[in-house]
Amino acid sequence: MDAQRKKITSLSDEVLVGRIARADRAAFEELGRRYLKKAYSIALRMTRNQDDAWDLAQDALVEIHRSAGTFDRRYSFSSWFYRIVVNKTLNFLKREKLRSGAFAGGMEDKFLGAKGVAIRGGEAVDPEEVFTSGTLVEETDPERDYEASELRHMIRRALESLSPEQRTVVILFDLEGFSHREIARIMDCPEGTVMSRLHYGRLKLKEQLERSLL
Amino acid sequence: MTDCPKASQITALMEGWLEANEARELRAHMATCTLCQRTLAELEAAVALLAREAGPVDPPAGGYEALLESAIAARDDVLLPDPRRALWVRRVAAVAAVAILAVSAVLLVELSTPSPIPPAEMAEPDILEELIQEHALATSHMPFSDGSYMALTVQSPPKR
Repeated sequence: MDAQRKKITSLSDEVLVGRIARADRAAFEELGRRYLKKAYSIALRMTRNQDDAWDLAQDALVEIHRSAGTFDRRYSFSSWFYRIVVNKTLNFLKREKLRSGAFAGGMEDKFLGAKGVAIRGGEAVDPEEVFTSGTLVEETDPERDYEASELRHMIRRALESLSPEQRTVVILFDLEGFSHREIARIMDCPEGTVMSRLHYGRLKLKEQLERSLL
Repeated sequence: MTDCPKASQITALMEGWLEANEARELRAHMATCTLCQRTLAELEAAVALLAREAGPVDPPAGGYEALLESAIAARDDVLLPDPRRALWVRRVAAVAAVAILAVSAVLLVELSTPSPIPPAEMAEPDILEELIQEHALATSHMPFSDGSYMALTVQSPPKR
């Protein structure tokens, strides 16, 4: 790592946003390295489409460049950025709903079909790791593979049945590990609303899964 | 606590969002309420199933580095004007400048040409005469005013 790169990695998010407002390319790249992975993950879980998630994560990052001048440094950069990601994704899903006539109903499940689910010792593992380790054939149980794949498919279908707001809260809290306070900041709503959406989202999810499993 | 709590309170208990005394009361209620126990068990089962979905997602095709490069290129496009768009803007600006010059020239010619219509401030001769007469008659009672002479001329015009 050269000295300049080392220096920029030590800067806070807020300082980097200030530099981005002055068209600093290196600062933009550094913030991208810090946040693009999570942005892509949120967008992918919400849209279930790799191409859409790619576009949304990219748009959200470019939006930082456009809006850096308006960023209020009293607030956390991460909440601001994830709010951009979530809002862009929710708007995208609304447009898709209007276009297709049913909320994400006609969307192709590219997420599920990308590499399938790899199982090692009964646990789902990163498929990338399994492919590179060369142990896929020896440690894969086709029956378990199928069951896990079916279950994941059911969970995704159940997530689809939630309202966009409930789904966002469940994804951010249960899958992405954000706290309810962070989610309230990201979604710009009271913490009580987050708690309520999480509760009713989980209940609905449970009902959908029960129907699928029976 | 004897009545069942609001359903969202059970989620709040699961996640540790309740105050210590609220949590204690709710646990005491749940120890005897099979309905609340069942709701808690079902919610825990849903969360356990969701946990199987947790963890990192598959990286995008080409990896995160390719996505970052793509975002940087998109940012550069925003920053640097598109040459085609710049040409279009220059053409529109040129047409607008020519239009402004043409309008200015027409206005200049229009203003410098004498108008055939008489200026509004010029009174008609009849009106002027009427005003003089009114003034003369109004001041005719003052013997030393110019009006007294003028009134005579107005009342009895000089004979030829």
